[in-house]
Amino acid sequence: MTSSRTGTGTGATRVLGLATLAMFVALLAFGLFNSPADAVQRDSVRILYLHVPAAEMAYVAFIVAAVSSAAYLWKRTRSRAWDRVANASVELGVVFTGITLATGMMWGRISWGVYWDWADARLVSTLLLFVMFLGYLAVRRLDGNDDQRARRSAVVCLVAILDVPLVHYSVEWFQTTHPVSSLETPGAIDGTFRFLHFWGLVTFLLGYVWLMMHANRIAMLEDKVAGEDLAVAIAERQREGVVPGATHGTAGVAG
Amino acid sequence: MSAALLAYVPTEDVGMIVAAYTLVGVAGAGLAWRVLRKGRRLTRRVPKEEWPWT
Repeated sequence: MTSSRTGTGTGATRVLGLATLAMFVALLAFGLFNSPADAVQRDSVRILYLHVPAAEMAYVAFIVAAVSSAAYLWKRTRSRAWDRVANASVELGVVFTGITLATGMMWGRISWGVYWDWADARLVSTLLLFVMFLGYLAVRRLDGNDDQRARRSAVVCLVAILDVPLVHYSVEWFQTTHPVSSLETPGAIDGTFRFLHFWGLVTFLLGYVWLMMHANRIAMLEDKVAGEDLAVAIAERQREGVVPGATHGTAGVAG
Repeated sequence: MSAALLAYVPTEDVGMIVAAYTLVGVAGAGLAWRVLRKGRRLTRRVPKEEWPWT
């Protein structure tokens, strides 16, 4: 029965995917229907059950990408696997950052009366993070062979990651409109928020792991298919008498 | 939100809250659909014995 099955799924990913889905449905139910309104933030607190875990997962995704990029740049650990992890993690980090920005704007509209405040350090530094990692994805699409692309993008990742501490500590260093973390302030929030924040974080973490597993498998297959396509193209050209030898054919070919 | 609670929440706020949950749901479903479709397409091209994770 399983022999005809196509796709990058396995038993583990299917369990993980279903668990993520079930936890998100529960988060939806808890966040929209069960959670009481906060004494200060009233109903806008419901958006924070998504906003805070998304921001934390963006940090996680970018830190994983930075560690993988460093491992790729270091000659002793250089492996295509690190580059695949970095690329997949940045893609997900950008999505998490996008969700953070969008849900933050919605929360801001309710709490502050405006979607955006250019004078706020947290908002602007997060937007900068988003744009820098979009730049990473653009750099990956530049011409060059696999190694050139991996090295260029690893350097961009290690530069962009410097913005993460700035984003995190901006609320303490600059003290602009964005509130400081309630989770780190003793007594600032009740148990419900803590529980739902934890629930949201686990949900997003499971989703991240599930997507990373699939994205890595896809990248491995893409490498394999690209290598086979290249071998076929070289063989065809050899038959036509255009390429005299096949051993030097891979240099400079973009995948 | 219960009907009683809805009565106290301004309509625009409800819209924002629902939009936030919808956005996350759509983004998650979109990402999942994208990776599953791409995975299916690629695994059709490579024999199962050569899948790196099996």
